[in-house]
Amino acid sequence: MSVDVGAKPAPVKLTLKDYKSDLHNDWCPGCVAPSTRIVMADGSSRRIADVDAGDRVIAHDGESHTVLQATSHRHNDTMRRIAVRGHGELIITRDHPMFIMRREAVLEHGVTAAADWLPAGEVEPGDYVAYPHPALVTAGASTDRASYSLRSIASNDEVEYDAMVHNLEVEGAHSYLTVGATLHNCGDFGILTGIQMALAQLNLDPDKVACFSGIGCSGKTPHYIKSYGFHTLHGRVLPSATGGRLANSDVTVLAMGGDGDGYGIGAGYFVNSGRRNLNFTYIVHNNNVYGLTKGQASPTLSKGKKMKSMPEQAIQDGINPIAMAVASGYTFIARAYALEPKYLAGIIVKAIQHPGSSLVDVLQTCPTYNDLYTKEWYEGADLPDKKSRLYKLEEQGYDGVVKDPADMQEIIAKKAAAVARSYETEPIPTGIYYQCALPTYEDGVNGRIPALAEKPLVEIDTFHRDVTPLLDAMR
Amino acid sequence: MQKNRLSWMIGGPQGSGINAAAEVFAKACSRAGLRVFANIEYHSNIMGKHSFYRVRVDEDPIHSHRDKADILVALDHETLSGDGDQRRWPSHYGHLGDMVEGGGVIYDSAIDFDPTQSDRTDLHFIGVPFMDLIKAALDEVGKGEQARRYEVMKNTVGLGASLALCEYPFDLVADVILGQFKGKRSEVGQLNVRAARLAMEYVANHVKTTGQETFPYRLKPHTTPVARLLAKGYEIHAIAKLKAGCHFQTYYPISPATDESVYLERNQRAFELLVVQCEDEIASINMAVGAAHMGVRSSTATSGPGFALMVEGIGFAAITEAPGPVITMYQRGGPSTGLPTRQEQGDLQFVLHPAQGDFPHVVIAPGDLNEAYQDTFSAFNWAEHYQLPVIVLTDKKLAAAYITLDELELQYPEIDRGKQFTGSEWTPARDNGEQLVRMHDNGHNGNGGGPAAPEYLRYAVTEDGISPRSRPGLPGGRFWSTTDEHDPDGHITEGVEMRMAMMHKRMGKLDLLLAAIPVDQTCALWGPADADLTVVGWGSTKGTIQDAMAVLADQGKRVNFLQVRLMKPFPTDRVAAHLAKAKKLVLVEENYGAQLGHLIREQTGVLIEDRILKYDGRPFSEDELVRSLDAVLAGGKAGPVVTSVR
Repeated sequence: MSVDVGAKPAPVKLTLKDYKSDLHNDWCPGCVAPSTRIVMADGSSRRIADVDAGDRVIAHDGESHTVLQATSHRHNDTMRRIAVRGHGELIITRDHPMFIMRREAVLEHGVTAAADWLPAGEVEPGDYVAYPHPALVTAGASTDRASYSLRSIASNDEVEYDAMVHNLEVEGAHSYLTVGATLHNCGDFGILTGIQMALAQLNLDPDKVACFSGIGCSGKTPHYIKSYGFHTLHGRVLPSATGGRLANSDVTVLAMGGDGDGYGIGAGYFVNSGRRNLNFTYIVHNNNVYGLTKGQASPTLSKGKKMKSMPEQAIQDGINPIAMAVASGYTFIARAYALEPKYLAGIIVKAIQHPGSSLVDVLQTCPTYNDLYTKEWYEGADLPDKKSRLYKLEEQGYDGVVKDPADMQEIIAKKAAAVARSYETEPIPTGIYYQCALPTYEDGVNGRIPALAEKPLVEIDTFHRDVTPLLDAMR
Repeated sequence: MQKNRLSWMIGGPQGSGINAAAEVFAKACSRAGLRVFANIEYHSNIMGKHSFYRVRVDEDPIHSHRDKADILVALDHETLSGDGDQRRWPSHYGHLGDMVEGGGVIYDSAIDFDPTQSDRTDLHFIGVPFMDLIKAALDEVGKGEQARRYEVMKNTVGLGASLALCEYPFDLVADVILGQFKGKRSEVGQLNVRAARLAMEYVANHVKTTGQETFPYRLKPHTTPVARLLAKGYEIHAIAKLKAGCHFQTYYPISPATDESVYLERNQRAFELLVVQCEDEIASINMAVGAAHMGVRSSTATSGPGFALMVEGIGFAAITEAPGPVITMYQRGGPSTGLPTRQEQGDLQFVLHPAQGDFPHVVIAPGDLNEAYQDTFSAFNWAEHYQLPVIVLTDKKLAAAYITLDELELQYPEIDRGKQFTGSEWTPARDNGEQLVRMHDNGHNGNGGGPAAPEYLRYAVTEDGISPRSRPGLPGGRFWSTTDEHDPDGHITEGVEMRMAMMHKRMGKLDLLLAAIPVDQTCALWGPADADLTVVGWGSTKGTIQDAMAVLADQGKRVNFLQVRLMKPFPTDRVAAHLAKAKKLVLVEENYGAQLGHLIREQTGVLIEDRILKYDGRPFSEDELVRSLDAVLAGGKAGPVVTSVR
């Protein structure tokens, strides 16, 4: 039996679903059992397994939002069975954040107590689910604490589990309601969605995409993408991806990893991959925290800051990845926010289209360990005017694209502007900081080995070399 | 009858061109049908520090240097007297102590050396006015006033002068010099030849007038010259990589491994081999692993300190069953930065255990240039067939010494790329019992149809443990790969059954490989089957041991040599069988710890108590080994060997 591998026709128009891989999932914050009933925008409820992208659901803000993506995978591990008094049971992975008010806080402050996202495994009987109170939901005051009703947790037990589990990526809110509880999904899913949307927009054949990743929660990203996936070593994703790209220039190479992976242990490769200007896109999940090892400071955490799991505040300052990228020689440098997957997807599209080393630094929440830079913090929920702590560069008329790459003065001016913007803290700029079309590493390689301009290295016949001239030189 | 053989040495500061002169002489001898072993000793330094180059020439095959030189060309005072007057701790005491009885010493008469003060009254000292001869050569073309600019020609002057002593035909040397200066530089070549000829004539004249015609060390071209190859190990490794179809080589500069990569880089246009100089060895190994997964034959080259950085990449390649890379590992003196330009076999145990966990990789240590070619060539086949990293372990001596090679057998062996996914290898999800079937009920990786349909699984648990490999870009061959423990899809798992299945799948490949590799390539017994003494060794000491065995055989002594070549998987049964037959065993290694000795004891239970070890950063000389083996044969105790420096 033989199948002509060249005969498979490329799909005409790919969608996000073409890049979905749901065989594997062990990401925080996890998922729920398929029978879990989700509150839809029209007030009805539906099994989560039956909810699909495009459906509208109610989120923790009490408003309706669009489901960007429904994910599922097989889960063979323990789960938590949480009983909510009067609202049935919920089968949920232990790291999945639930919107909870602690029993002690409620005793002290009543319904005005602060709600927090807590991993399901940490929820205790007597705590309360903070559930949007339909009667109190009002437009524009959605995160007001008074909007929540409290539902008492009756029990929280461990159960064996070996079946499919499901999760949703919800636009804007990144949370959804079951009939009994308020659930969050982590920032990684926003980035995953952004990547999958970008690949679909570019209509790239999944067989011609290779995703490389480092180690950490973010390192697991390729397992969720239906393309070739390489989950490599901590901090070494860029060299692996570079080798991959050089071996086959027909394949679109994406590298991804966390801020610790890219700016800490992998800092040397971050710098050198920039100056190499190889054509690939590097997406960094930047959430200021080492999530997989449970909450240590990452290289982007500023001096004096302390996350909830850190024993002490940071006594060293954070790296400025945008400025570092400018200095290293990246020719496309952008920043986006994980909870805006559509905008992120647009940036990733441009990054992939850009010929050269592209960095997309993605600001990301970690509902489990980052209690400083939360969704609410980015949204400016604590600010008097409730104004977002993010803004888009292009909306202020900023243009980081170098028009004439031969004009060194323009390059210097654009780099200086990008660096200046990268030090702005509140609000933080997102969008394209800098872009310049310069000769790539591939151009240099093709100059040495012209055949590589015609076909990728992997297809060059290296098995019929005549080394006689080398031997003759030895006589 | 006196055999046609000579040991010639040139010494001078680093950067003075001793390499060029020695290599011209070596080549001139090789072309005349003689066999050559030439090796340099130098400091880790760009300019100035003392270095010296020995060229040993013989009619018979030779693979090592002698303790004593017959002719010494000294470009500076330090070559004669050492650096004791400049340093608190002398690094050497000059090379007069390295001269045979009645040897000849050519020195620059401008260096203020008084031979009458030397205690080596037996030597023939011949002062040669190096700069005067360079000026005379330039005068012939009207450039006499530029003599200072041509000071670098002192090396050729020294070489030319020495030819008068041993009476080697000048034209053979002149041809090699002219061949090295082509095109625009041919004029410089002519100048060098002229200066060398003047030096030769000067010495010939001097010898006549001082009555030194009796100089006993002469060299003649072979009566029936065969133009053999004169090669360095790094060139052979590079050529083997080219012939094996290597697409991709990464490196970070490090002595003594750099030469291989630079040689490949110099030839990359002609052979369409992509060479990448990386930011460090961690990048080198990871790029090479990434490229191997992408379907190209990939390799890297390094030395101990670089390998120390690469180790996590070895584990990465092994657990992800990457089809490579091949790593040429050039040992030098350790530990840490150690002796960057010197010889040692100190990394065997290190490369056997480079990273955490139990994982499959291959370590093979060629003993000479032909084996270097075979093993490097085979390494690519093994890497792809068994999907694992392969380390070819060599060292500074074999990398950098010029050795005559009768012929290189290029067609050894066939290219074998192993099981590959071509679109037809849909793997039925049924082969490892219930667990696998259950895990693939969903058929969600997109390569198969629906539930329970056959689908391509990159890490399918097959009968022999080897799964057909795909590469990015192939339709339908999509897979995941992870440095975590994984299932046949390449997704993370911590399940007990899958862990066991994957460990057995990976580790079992070593047994397959050991069974498939030709016996000769695993270990070999050289010399008479029944010997009074069996020498056990590995790597580049093979040549020295064989040279010493030839000397001992001439004296009627029966010594044989068990060479261990494949270090992992270890050919336990074969080595044990050879050891069991030996009357008396002695280990020869260039390290402190008797690392092969430990490996043999670990694998076979045999403790070799007699150990001839050397770890001063210099390889064994033939004479050192002859003396040591003689002592053991006579019932004495083997002990460490230290290079004589006085």
